[in-house]
Amino acid sequence: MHNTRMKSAPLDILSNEECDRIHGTTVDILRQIGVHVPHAEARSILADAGARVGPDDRVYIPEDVLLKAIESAPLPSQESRWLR
Amino acid sequence: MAKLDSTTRVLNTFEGKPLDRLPVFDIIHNVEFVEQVTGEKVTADNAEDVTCQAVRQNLDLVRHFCIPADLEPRYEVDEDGFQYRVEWWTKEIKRRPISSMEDAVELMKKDIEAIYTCLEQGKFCHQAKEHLQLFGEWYDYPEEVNDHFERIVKKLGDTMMIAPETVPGLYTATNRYGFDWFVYLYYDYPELTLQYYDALIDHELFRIDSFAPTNLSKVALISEALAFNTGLMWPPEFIRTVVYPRVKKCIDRWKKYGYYVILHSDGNKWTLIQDLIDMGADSINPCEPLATMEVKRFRDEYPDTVIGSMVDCQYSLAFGTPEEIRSETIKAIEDSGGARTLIGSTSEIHHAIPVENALAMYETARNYWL
Repeated sequence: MHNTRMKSAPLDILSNEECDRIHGTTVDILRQIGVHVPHAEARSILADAGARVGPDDRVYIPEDVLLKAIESAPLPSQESRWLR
Repeated sequence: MAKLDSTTRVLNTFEGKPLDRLPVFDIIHNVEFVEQVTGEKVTADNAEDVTCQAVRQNLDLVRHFCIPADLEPRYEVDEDGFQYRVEWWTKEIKRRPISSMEDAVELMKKDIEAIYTCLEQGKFCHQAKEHLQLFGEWYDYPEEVNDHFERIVKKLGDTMMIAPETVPGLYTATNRYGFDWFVYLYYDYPELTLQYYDALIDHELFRIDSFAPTNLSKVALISEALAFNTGLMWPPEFIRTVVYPRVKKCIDRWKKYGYYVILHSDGNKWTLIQDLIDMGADSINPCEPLATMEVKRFRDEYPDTVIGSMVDCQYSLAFGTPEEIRSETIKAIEDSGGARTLIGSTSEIHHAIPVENALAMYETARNYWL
């Protein structure tokens, strides 16, 4: 998984293990409890990406779909190129 | 050089004139700090006086702040069905009256109508307010805000208070509707959403026109949420074509009245800075180390622009030692080149910051003569 610690942080508030626990719990929540997505087209896009759509407009996001989304998020250096 | 008063120090900073030291700029939302530096217990009766005293003793420039008139948290429900948790230093929406797109569309139409009805009556609109518990939000009419502002200015001595903050739409909209509903609305109903966005801008322009002629301040702050710590919060195309023109309207309006403008957005905003300067911003704020914002790089790339608020309040001020805070403050002063810089926390002296850490920052800044 990604190292979620910030390079510029002068202090260590969370250990690597604690960061891992937070990330692991986030993955569990998105996969098992899911998230309410009231917009039909948004649900359809998530389903096409590999998420499971359940009753009451709830979407369950597997870990591999989540990690793929994180990988595809733009970095600041890329935004710079897009903006100009 | 001779010691300057706070107001002159702030104005010289914006004008690039000589300084005795860098001005200290912050918000103090920490009752323990207020009580320790004033020696007074904060009560509902003396809250405004002692808060102003603490500000006067420590800051050269202060943002429009919350007054701890009621220290007990409480819940409120407004006429539209929004539930808020209110604390003396902030206000947070806990429940929105939206459960479907139809609800969201109806609410947005009602909000637009409510805003323009209020503007026709020359009053501020509840639906267009930021709802952060700042004292300027307590009133319906401009004269009431201006009177309260003037009363506080008198209690601040020569410490300058920034004009009531301008929030050019996006923050207010995403706070009221939530990010999810706002994005869904913009996607499905772009015309309606932009009408609402423009109504919020018209409300802000009315607020500027209502306050600016009083000349009770010379500095304005425009606050918009554009970035996270890791990068932009919105697609670049949306920022350029939708956000920028509306932010510029607000900058231009303050400039028309001769105010210096601080552009405030949290986060990693390196890619926006030149555009914001080109639109007229005199200062970029804050400069958060956790968002990769660095004073030295900023000074090298933007030598003529005022930088502000760089001592980290999430980690350093909250969890560091006074000695670490002193080092961080001295580094910020030295990296800034000793000019065009407002020294202070990256947001505010919140309640989790130990008093000795806040004092370490302020005393270091006040005692570092240029």
